[in-house]
Amino acid sequence: MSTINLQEVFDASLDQPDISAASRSLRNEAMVSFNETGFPSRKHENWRYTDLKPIVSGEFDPSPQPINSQQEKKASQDIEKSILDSKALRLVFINGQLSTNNTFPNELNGLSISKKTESYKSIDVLQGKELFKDYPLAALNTAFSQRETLITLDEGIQITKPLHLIHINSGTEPRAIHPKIAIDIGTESELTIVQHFISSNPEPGWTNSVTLINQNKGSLLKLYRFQEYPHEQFHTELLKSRLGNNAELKLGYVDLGGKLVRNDVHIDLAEPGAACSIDGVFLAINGQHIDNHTLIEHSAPRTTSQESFRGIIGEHGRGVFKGKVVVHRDAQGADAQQSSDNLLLSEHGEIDAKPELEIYTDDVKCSHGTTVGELNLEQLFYLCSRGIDETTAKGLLTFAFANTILQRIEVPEVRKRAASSIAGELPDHQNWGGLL
Amino acid sequence: MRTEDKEFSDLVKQKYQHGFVTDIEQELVPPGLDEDVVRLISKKKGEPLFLTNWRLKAYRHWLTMDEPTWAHVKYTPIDYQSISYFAAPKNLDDAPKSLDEVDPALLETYDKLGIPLHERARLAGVAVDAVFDSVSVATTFKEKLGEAGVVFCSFSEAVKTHPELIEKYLGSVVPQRDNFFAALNSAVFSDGSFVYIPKGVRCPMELSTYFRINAANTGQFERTLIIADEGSHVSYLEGCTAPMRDENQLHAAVVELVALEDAEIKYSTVQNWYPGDENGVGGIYNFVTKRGDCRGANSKISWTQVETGSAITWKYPSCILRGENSIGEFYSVALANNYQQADTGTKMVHIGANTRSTIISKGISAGNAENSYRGLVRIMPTAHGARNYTQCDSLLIGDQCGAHTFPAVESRNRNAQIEHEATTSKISDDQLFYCRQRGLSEEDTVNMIVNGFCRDVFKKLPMEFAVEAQALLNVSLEGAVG
Repeated sequence: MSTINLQEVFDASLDQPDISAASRSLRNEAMVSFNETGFPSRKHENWRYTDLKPIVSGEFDPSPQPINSQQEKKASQDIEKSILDSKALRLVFINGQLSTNNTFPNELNGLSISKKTESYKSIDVLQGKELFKDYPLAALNTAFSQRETLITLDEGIQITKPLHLIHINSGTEPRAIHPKIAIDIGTESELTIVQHFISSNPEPGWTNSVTLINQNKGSLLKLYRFQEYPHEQFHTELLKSRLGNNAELKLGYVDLGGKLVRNDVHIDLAEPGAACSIDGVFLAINGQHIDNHTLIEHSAPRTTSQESFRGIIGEHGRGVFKGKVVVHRDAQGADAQQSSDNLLLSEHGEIDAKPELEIYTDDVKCSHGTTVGELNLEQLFYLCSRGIDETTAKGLLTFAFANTILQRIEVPEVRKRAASSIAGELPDHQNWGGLL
Repeated sequence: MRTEDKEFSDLVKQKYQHGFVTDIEQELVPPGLDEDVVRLISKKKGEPLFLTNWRLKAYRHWLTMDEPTWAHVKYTPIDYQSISYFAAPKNLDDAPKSLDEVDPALLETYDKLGIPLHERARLAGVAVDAVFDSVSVATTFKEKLGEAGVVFCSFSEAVKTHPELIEKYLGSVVPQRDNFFAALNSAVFSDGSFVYIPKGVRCPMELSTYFRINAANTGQFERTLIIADEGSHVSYLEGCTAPMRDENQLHAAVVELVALEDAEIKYSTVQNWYPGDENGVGGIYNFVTKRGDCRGANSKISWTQVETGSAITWKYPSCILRGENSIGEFYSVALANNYQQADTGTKMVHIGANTRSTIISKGISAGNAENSYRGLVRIMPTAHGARNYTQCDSLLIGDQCGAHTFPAVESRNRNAQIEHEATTSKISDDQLFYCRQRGLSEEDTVNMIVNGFCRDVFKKLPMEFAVEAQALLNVSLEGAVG
């Protein structure tokens, strides 16, 4: 077993004067819960297809480290390559700590960023015993998270410029970092966030992120999460969200890197008329393992959800999808659509899909669909008959498959970056000319 | 409450019509289970040593197992020590050779159920191996089947006449250790049906067994084994109904099908056991393991089921598609009303190249019932060109019921093509309104729509079964309108 004693590291990390009583007790609760559950094992139904052994045995050190100037410097180089230009509202986290390189003004037009120290009701109802029990990794995150960043947007404010959150995993030794973000969107307000996970670290590292979101009445949040690690990195995360009356959440997930990636999404459509959509695309090639687990709860009347994931599985890659939709007894008029489509392009790839519906009322419209297969031979033939060579044709069809999802990303820079990254993995893309 | 709601709730409250008990002296083993009981059952049935040991092995393994809890059903825990594991009609020694010799009380039971055994057998050309509680007492058309070389008899008879086949195939599809209920069944199975179709034979008639649970407190542990040798064909029908009892009765059957090269087995079930009363009291616990093994190339196994009864159904008829080009099919209608709970579905395991499977599942929930589809399609790396199509639809009637879908797809071959679709909805007001304004009663409308909903499955049933199934659905469901 591990030579790193999590409890000792935890005790040491709490041994600091500036930790408030509220966060001390929350983190204690989380640690107690994690000690009870431990790392989830494959015996657990939700972890049947994903084995955390490489993370457990990876000995990733979660102890807090201050950012040094070298890391700051390196980070600024990384940011140069980032999706959005320097004019964007930007927050940079290096190994979970807020970097001074951030270019964001701390107060802007009703949007405020702070370190959450005291209890904050609408966020704190999202976490606690139940969450920690259902998601042991979120408990671990809470116990070790050094800085819970609180992003709040006041009532009736629309911010069109996307807020860019950059998480950089850097450092020389194998580190576990636990970024934690809490977002509270005021009534009738609008915000777009691009959450970007990158790493220039050639060493294996583990990022275990938690994002908690509360959306008040009529608010709109678009959140695009973009993950492009080198293939040695591990990534696990939970996004939990609660939506009020007629609030809307649009989520986009793009997973291109990482060795083992597990994304959990838990959305509660808690009040009438709330709506959410999740669009995801991932590449699992060269032994990558990408797992998306979503849980959408329809708890109130006339709530709608739309979910669609597309996976491209290449050599020794493995894609996992579990999408669960629960329609509770009071959720009359709920509408839930879910689809998971997968391209299996390699002899040694594997795809495991579990779309689930749990429905407790009758006035609903729910459907889900799953497909697994290789490229459509007729389409391939069509392209070849038009004089396109087979390799290029395959590349084009594969790209088109992913592009269906990419088209739904409403931030052009993110869409373009995702498109060129996916195309970059496909053969012959340099011959596509101005297609992208 | 709207008037039509009331009308329909009255209809829903309709009592189970087949509830009665036949008085026949039962030879009972005292309740409880230990190795001695297993030995006693084996001894009473005069089984060879290998089978006694096989049972004991299963029993010992069962002791180490835990009852599964993953299914989406709730029930009070079963006390396995309060069940009597063996019941046989007493007059076994002078067992009847023909229907005329059958105990009149038994025949009366069938009559009450609307199954005139001899008539049905003669008119429909069906051979009936009627299992009354645990021991077969009447087998018909034996001679005709004998001419074709088909073996169709009770399991205990087969143990005596064809021990080599039993030893070779028993447990080869559902091993003793397969799951909790299969292990229990393997230890204490009482009787069941055995079918062997020799090479190249097309069974001249449809084979049918009517099961009936009679004695209170006797769990029934059927064991069915069907072997279709190379190039043979058989269609097997299974139908069930049970008398009304307030105590839950456990039924843990195991069905094993083996299809060798070019063979085809069609297995149809209409299950209408006592579902409990409208408050969810009583009813049968139906925990069944059914699995078919397409062992040879080009073989085919087709499961068709209509599940309307039982308080709890836990049943996943599955196919192991081992042979090249083999085909697995699963067609199911599962209806749950009042407080019934059904967790049913299938597993298709594709091992051979070019194997194909089709899954059509129709779930209907009414009242306070919970109905779940649970399925798995697994494509192994060897299954080049495998193909699966799955469709599972759920219909909800009333706002207190639940319909759930838990399908899993695991593909490890790039040439495989898998499609899965599921929908859940209620009968729309538009549909209801359309039929109502054309003068149909609400009840007829619902029946019509539900029958249409299930048509894809019904048309896979043998004709006489399809008629019975449709009538059964109408009775079970009448009036539950949301």
